[in-house]
Amino acid sequence: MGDLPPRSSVKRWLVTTNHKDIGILYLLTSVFFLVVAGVLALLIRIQLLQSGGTILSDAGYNQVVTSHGFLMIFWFLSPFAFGFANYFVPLQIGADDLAFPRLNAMSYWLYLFSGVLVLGSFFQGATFMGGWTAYAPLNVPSYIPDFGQVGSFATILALIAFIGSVTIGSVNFLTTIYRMRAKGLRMRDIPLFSISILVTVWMMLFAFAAYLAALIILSSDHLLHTSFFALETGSGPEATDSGSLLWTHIFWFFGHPEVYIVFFPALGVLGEMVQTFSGRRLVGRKWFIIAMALVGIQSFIVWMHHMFLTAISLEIKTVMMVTTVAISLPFDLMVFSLIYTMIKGKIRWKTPFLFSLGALVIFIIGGITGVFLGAIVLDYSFRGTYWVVAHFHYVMASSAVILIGAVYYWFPKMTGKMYNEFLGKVHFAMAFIGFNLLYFPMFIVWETPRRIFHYNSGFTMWHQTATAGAFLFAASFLVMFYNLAKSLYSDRHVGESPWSYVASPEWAVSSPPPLENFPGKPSFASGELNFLDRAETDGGVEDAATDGGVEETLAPPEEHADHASWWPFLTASSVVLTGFGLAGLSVSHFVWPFLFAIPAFVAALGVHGARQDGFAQIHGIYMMLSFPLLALFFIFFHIGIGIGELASMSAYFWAALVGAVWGAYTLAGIGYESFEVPEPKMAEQWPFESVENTKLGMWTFIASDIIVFGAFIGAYIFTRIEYGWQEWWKLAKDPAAHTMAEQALEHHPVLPGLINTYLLLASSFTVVLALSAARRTEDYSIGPFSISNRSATVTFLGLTFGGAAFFLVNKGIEWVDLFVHQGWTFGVDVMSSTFYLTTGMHALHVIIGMLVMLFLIARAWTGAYVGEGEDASTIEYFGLYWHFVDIVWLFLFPLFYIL
Amino acid sequence: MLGSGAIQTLLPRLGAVATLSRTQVDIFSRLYLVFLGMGTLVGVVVISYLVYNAYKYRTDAPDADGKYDVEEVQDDDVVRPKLGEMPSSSKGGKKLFLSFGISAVIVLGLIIYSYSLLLYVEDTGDVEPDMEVNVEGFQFAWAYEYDNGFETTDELVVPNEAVVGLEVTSRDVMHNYGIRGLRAKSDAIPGQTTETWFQADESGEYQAICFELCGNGHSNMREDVLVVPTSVWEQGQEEYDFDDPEEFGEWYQQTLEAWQNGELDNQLEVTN
Repeated sequence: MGDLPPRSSVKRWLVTTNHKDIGILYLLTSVFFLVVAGVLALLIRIQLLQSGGTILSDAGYNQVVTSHGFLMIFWFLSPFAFGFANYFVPLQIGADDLAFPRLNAMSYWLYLFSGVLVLGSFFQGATFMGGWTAYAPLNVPSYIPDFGQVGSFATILALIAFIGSVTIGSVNFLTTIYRMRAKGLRMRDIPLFSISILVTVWMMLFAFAAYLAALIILSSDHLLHTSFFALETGSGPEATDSGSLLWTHIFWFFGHPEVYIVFFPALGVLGEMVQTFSGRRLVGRKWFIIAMALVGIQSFIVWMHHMFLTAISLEIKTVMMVTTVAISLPFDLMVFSLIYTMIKGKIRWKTPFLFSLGALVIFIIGGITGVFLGAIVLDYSFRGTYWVVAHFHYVMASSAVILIGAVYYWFPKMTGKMYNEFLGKVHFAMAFIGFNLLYFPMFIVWETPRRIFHYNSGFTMWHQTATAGAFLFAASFLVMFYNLAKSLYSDRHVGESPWSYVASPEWAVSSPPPLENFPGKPSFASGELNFLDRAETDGGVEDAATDGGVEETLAPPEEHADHASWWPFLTASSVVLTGFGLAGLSVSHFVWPFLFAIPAFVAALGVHGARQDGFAQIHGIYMMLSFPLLALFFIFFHIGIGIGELASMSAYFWAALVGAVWGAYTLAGIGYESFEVPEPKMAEQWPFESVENTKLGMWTFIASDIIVFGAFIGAYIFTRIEYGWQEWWKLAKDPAAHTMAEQALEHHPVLPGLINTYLLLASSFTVVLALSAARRTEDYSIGPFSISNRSATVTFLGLTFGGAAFFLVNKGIEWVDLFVHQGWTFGVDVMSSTFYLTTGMHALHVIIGMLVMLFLIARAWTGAYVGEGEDASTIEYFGLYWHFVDIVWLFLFPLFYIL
Repeated sequence: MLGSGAIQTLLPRLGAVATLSRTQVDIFSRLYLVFLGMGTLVGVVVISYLVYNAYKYRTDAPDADGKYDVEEVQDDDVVRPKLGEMPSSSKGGKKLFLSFGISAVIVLGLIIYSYSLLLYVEDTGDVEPDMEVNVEGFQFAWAYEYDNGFETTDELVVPNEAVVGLEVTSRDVMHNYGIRGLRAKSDAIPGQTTETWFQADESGEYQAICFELCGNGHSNMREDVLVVPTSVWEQGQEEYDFDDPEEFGEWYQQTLEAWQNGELDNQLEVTN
């Protein structure tokens, strides 16, 4: 931790945790990915210049189509919107920063490094080539050519890292918006853009969790050779009966909300831009917001309209048709609201307004053509054609067009300089014409099959027109880059706002805003924005005046504005090496890098702890403990693989090992870094007045984790129903298919699971005792014996750790018996796959919990959390997580052992 | 669902079966036309109204000093946005709901109308398909199995005017079987069977294309479908026993060769 270096220094951008800096980093990085994905789009258009293709091979074309989708949707659209969200949500709601600034930096770096990983996959043979929808079982190794296996898996791992970034970001924004609003600012009063971000992050929190589960299942098929999507039989790969549908269900459960996730932030800015440049308050603002919230909820019950031609029943199709068509109506309302806002306006046709207007036209066309797809009979014919391609580009790329408008809208605010209006208008004209030249012909020649470069010879002219449009659209961005770069160094300074009729608080501060955002504490208590004197509101200065020593403990809330930390960057960077290595590892090798990272983590806890808290016995114990632990794992390694093999290990192994150890070291580092962000004072916090920031963050994180496990359990139930609920047990008994499995089944015992249930319940109890011991102000004494509350806390944490350890040992014995002795391996059938992966995911949660406990024990040992003046909340937050892990087991136990 | 009844064992004797009043092509064309008409109308009206308003209420006032925008004015009838205000709405809620109501009526009307046609496509009532063909997708072609047991991975050959039921599945990854021009399309999913049907109005050459990305050969996964005139089919039935897969196979080979040599050209109504 330290003060921020100036913006001209590279170091500033590596260590910053300030939301405005991170917003800029997000914007620049996402524009980089826009360029990459845009070049890929141009390659597609060049390939389509004539039927049969021009420059790309089959595999090449599939890779380009796939990565264009992934990069545009995940690495450009959302992060671009969240660049603005980072910058402007705190400004709009009157907060100094996001609730968790360091986690926010972590979000960004995870995003960047996941992007490095996905771009790197091109150089690992080939990137994923099964389309961004990644339908099963084309997405598993059995059906991927050898040269594409490593790169495909790297792409999947990159997506997982990206979801890590998204989840942290969602938790952060939810906590910020609920807990850090200026006094007097009710939820319904926050500016439209911030509201749209709120709805977006709610959708993100749940939708991406489902996708994460799907990707973990997919990774498991890649790495462990489980058989969710395909079985390896003696005669070659064989798709499972349930796998294809399972993937499409989970994917689209995520995928449809994702469409709104990329669109809503743009919709929010659109509302603000239309209001500003019309000079008239939005018509029906309340209904606009209600419509958005409605779409956010409804987006989770329309997904099967992507599956009308699969074997789902007519009844379900009908329900999905109704929900799908109904979801278009709130959008109608929003569009009309924007149009009516213009009436009696004082409309200035500035560049941001032009982009708003153009995007509205585009979105209206996209919306109408979407209704076509909602009519099932039409969808039957449109499925897999360019009608779909044209429609979703009209919708999703209208989001991009709006956000480009937002660049012009907020550029003066972010830089303090005005862009060149003429060049802005040239950009709009080129972009709008290029856009429609590019996508409208796709409606005309909609019978072109999607992701295919063969088409009717009569379509050639239209495809060539589209290609010309694509180049015009691409060129328009060069105008923007030139305009903005040139304007940055111009002398066209702007004051607080270059625009008239602005309303939201970001326009009330200088351009660019100061590091601490506001000249005083923003408040709406009087019914309009005021800046109160900070000294009066915080009370910090008065205390400091009487006693300088108190100043530190009563740090005013804005003090974290210049917090700097290396750890987010360093921690996230471990993702690149780990992901690169893991992608190329086999099932027998992959676990070792992570096992060896455990002693590294224990040692790092000792080292960082000694540095931060002063050397204590526990740190010595940790450092010493790491050696026998390492030796133990070496012995395991020797038994499993053989020490001699180390010399012949691939680069993937070493990369994963270095990455995992680096990750362990940096995670311990970030845990130990002192990074205090005080609870917000004087803030509007309905409905979470009585929940601290970190607790709310933990709750939202657990909410998303519930969806992850929900998807796993759902996948299990879906698969099992597909095979027949009771026939399931016989599945493994089929002696022809799996001779070993029959015995395995008889040894699939209930007892280990039952013992483990009790162990976990007991450990939930001890963690509560640890918390109550930490909160106690005096020592425990029983008769002649006395034990300090510090020792009691450490003991109860230790007991919890012990319970978890026993749980794992017990599970290990069970697994070794099933796996080694019974030969019931991961991929022998879908039953074993669901069993190992779902209980394995739970075990992974237990292990993560144990690693956190090691940290907590070391901290508690040195007196943290315990006694008066100390905050025991960290133990409470961990306890929430731990109870959650236990509750999950209460669901898994009956599902996998009894029913 | 169509084809849920007993699969017929005989290939159709044409003329003896009831044909459907509307083919998938008819239904699609009509529905597409209605949607296109309404869609264009709504689109043109809404976009024109949008652009009209944006143009009508534009202001030509020059930029104010020190700003890059006009001077803010407050007039009597309209309350303009003010910096730092608590957000609130302009008037116009009634109009908003009126438009919302109208669009709801249009959209729901369209969907209800299309739903009646969906029910027809999904269940053609008493009319059993004249013949059933099992289609199995594999990387990167189609395998067909006729009612009589005849199997081929070459072109699908069916008679004109017959209602052909398709049962579609996949051997490996997910495909989508679609015959362009006949509006038959169905996902080919491993481990699952989906159903669809078609009826050709015109004999000729059609194409069965894979509409779901299925691997490196996806772009080339296309195969002709040959709809022979009823006369050709009936003549075949007179000369060969179509219930016997081998005899049918002989006819099938002969017909394909004739077609490839261009002998059928003058009898086919649709050619590629």
